[in-house]
Amino acid sequence: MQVFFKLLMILMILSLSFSSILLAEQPQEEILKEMMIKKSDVFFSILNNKELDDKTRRTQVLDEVGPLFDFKLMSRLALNKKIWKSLSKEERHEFSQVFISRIQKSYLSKLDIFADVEIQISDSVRVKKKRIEITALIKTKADVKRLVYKFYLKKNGEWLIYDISVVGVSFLQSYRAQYSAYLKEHSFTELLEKLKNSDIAEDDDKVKV
Amino acid sequence: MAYFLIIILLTSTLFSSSENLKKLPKVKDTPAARINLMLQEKEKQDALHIQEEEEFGDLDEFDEEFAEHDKEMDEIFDPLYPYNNWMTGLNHSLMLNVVEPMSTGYGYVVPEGGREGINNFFNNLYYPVSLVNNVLQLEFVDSCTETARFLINTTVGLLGFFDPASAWFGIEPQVEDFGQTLGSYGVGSGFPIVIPFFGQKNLRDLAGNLGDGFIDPIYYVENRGYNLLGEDQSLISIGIAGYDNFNEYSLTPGAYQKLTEDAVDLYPFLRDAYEQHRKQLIKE
Repeated sequence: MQVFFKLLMILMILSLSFSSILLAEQPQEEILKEMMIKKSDVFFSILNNKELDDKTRRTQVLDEVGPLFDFKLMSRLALNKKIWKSLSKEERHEFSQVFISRIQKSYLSKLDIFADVEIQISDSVRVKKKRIEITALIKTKADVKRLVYKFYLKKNGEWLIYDISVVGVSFLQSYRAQYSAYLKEHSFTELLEKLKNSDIAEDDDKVKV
Repeated sequence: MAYFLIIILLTSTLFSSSENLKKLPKVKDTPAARINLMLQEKEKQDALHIQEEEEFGDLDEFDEEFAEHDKEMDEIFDPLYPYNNWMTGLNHSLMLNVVEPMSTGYGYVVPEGGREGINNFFNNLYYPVSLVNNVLQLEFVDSCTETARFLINTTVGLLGFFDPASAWFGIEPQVEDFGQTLGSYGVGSGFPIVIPFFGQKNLRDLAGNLGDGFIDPIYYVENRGYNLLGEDQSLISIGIAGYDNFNEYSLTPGAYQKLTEDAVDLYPFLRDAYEQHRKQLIKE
C-alpha cells in the first residue's frame, strides 16, 4: 500500500511539472525578439516604399519605431545624477524637450545609412530581472557591426528601449560624457542654446532608397 | 534749535526705518532661514525624484550602469588636449573637404564590387597579425577560426578578394590587434593621441600598432624604383594603410559626417566613442 502511495505521489508530481512546462508562458526575451523582427521588417518596408515621399517616410518610421523608445527616460539619463539634481523642474522639462526633439531629428537624418544595409536580429538576453538586451547585426558593404537595443521594464509593465549601443559605443554614455565635459566650462543655459541651435542636416531630399 | 533737533530725529528715524524696510526681505539671510530654505529645496528635489522614480523605477540602478565610465571620462588624463583638439579639427575638415569628395569620385571610378574585393583582400592580408594576437590572448578557437578563414578566402576566395568563408560557410572574422592584447593583459589605455589622417588613438593602441607593424605584411612591401611615394619604405607602407582605410571608407559614404554631426564638442565626443569602442573590443 505504501509503495502504491509513493508511486501515486511521484505520478502526481510528474504530471504537475509537465503541465507547468506545457502551460509555461513564452519568455519575455523571446516575445521582444519576435516583436523586433516584425518591427525591423516594417521599418524596411517603409524605407523601401518608393511611392512615399521623404517626409511621409520619416513620419511613418517615427510612428512605427518611436513607441519602442522611452525618450523621456533617455533625456533624464543623458545627464549624470549630479547635474540633473542641480536643475529646477522647469529646466529639466526644457532639457527633456530639447533633447528628445534633437535625438529624433538626428535618428531621422541617419535613415539613409540604413538604405544599404541588412539587419539581422541575432539574440535576446535577459541580463537582469528588469533588463533585456537584443542584439542586431548590421551587415554593411565593409563589415558587420553589432548593435544592441537595451530594454527595461517600466513600472506600468511595458518594455521600452532606454539606450542603444553600436560597436560598443553607448549613445547615452556618449551624451553623458559630452554634456558633462561641456558643463565644466559652460553654463546649463549655454548647453541648451547649443543643443537648440546646432544644426543636424535635415537632408529631406537626400534619403536614398 | 529744538526744531532742528526734531528734524534730525525725524530724518534719522525715517532713514533707519527705510533701512529696515530694505532689510526686510533679507531676514532670510539668517543661518536658520538658510537651513530652512535648503530643506525646502531638498524637499522639492525629493518630490521630483519620487515622481520620476514612480514613472521609471529605480533611477539609481540606471545611473550605476553609467557611473564607472562617467568617472573615467571625468578624470581622464589628457596632457595633449590642446594639440589633440586642434588635430581633430584638422582631421575633421580633411575628412569633410578632401576625403569625402575624393571617396565619391573614387566610388564613380571603381565599382562597388571592386571596392568590396579590395577591402576583403586587405582584411585577408591582416591574418598574420590577427593570428598572433589571438594566440597571445590564448583564444585558440578564434585562432583556428581565423586560420580557416584565411585558408578558404585565399584559395576559394581567389587571393582574398572574395569572402566565401562568411558568405558560404558562415565563419565570421575574429580580428584582434596588439592594442587589444595589451588591454587584455591589463595594460591601461594611457593618454589619448590624435594622429594626422588616421585619427583618434591612445598610447597603448599606438604602441600596439607599432608592434603589429612588425607582423603586418603591408609593412614588408618591397621597395621598387617606380613606387610613387619614392624610396622611403615606411612611407610606402603608411600610404598603403591609408589607401586601405580610404577604400573601406568609400563603402559607407557619408557615414562619418552623419555620425559626427550630433557632437556638442567634436574632440571629447570622438575621444569618448573611441575609448568605449576599444573597451568593448578588449572585453570581447
